Amino acid sequence: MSFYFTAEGFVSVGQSYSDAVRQDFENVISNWTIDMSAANVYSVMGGLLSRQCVIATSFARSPALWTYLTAPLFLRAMAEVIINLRWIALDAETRVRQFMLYGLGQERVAIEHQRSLAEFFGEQPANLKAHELWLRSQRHEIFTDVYLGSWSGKQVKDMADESNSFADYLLYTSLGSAAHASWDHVLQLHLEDPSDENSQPVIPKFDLNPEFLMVTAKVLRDTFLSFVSFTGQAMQIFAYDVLMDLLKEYAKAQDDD
Amino acid sequence: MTEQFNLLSGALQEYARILTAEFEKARGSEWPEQFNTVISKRVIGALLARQISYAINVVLNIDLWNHQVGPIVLRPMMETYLKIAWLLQDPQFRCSGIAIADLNGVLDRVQKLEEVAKTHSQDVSQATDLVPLFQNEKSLFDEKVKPIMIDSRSMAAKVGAKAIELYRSHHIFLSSAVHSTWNHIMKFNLARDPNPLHRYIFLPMWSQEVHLDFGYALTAAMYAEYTFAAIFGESGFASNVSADTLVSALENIGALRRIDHNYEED
Repeated sequence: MSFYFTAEGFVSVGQSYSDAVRQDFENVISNWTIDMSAANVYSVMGGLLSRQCVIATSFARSPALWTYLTAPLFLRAMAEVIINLRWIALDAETRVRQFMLYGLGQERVAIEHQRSLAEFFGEQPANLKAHELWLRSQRHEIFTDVYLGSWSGKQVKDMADESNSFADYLLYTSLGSAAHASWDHVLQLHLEDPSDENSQPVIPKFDLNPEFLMVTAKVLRDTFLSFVSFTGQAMQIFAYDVLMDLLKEYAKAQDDD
Repeated sequence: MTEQFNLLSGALQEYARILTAEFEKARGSEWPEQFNTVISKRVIGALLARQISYAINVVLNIDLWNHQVGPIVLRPMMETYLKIAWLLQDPQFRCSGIAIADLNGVLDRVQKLEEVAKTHSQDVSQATDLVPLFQNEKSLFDEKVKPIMIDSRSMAAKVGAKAIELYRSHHIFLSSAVHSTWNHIMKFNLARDPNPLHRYIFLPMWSQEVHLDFGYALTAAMYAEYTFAAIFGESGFASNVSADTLVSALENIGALRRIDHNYEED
């Protein structure tokens, strides 16, 4: 499929796709029976699905993000969510707890950072109290441990291997250079002529590429499928097909013009 | 509403134009002597270009001004500033070290990718086609310099002062969103079930109504300002793109109003 595209033309595609995702999300969540004996599993898995939907639809509704500058950042975040979700699903009761405690530990680190800034500057940051109250609403600070390294205690590659997420791991790892502004990535985009030693740095014109939207939609679809597989729901996910139909219509309209 | 939006759009585009113009002036200007080598200007110049690209992207994209996705673009900006500030402490050596490390890393990954791709029947020519570019790039740097691997926290610690302050203020908040950790998800993707019979379980929720926060645009402007200041000093380019410039532009159109903390009622 080839495209001649404008940002304006794609805004309605993104919005329609976003509406379809919302429908899928509401269907899946409303059909998932809450198991009160595993409330944390419900919250974490549901939260991860919600997060993935938010990232994907925020990306879809803003065609200006479909470029080599910003798309890798969104895709990497999504790849991480799906790997986490799939890995947690393999032993949900234990791993959900790990996930939650790690996050609370991160909040404690944030609070300690803010306290050290308060000590240095002699005045409290405005939101320090809010952070403290939030943490205290979950777990008393003295019982909140800080975990170093990854939340799972494993490398992302090992989590991906265990959860059969090789393709998502490839996506995650291949976008690391973009996410961290590694030299191998930066030199390709921000030097006028990388082969010239004296090349000037440049702010390139980033072309809009709807293939990034297709990849995010595919990752979101896979996330939904993993989720319904975990919850045992026999549900169909429609948003990806809706998007592909919209893009075909758009491409056809361009050809007709 | 349309008129107000047009005013806001105009102010933001003007600021983005200033960012681009100051970058063009900076790259054509005489750099401070201690950074004015081919290697330093190549690496730091390209990173500066990246930083300004991000800043323009955030300022012009109102869809990024929220807690859900704003951090996804702001965290790379924070890291880029820390990287530049750290490189500037010993530019020739550190630029070479970090470039060699990154190039070694990518060549290693491409090699592993080729091996794995054979068993999974995947086409990785997009990656392997870049190998000559990376090998040529490596030859530009002094092969005697050892590769340097360093994380953002260590960079901030070595730079000290503003870098540490920035790291402590922003890093966890931005990273939690990027990595979708529990402390982010719980605040922004879940809502407490008000039904006490459900033991106040947290329900997945997703609102398409997002709270717009100008702070994202202002923080992007701040990172751009700090980055220019780290290379060229606080006056000149940095002051022209300062966050205050953006704030003043937004004040002029009535989008922001400063709160006078010294105001006393009569």
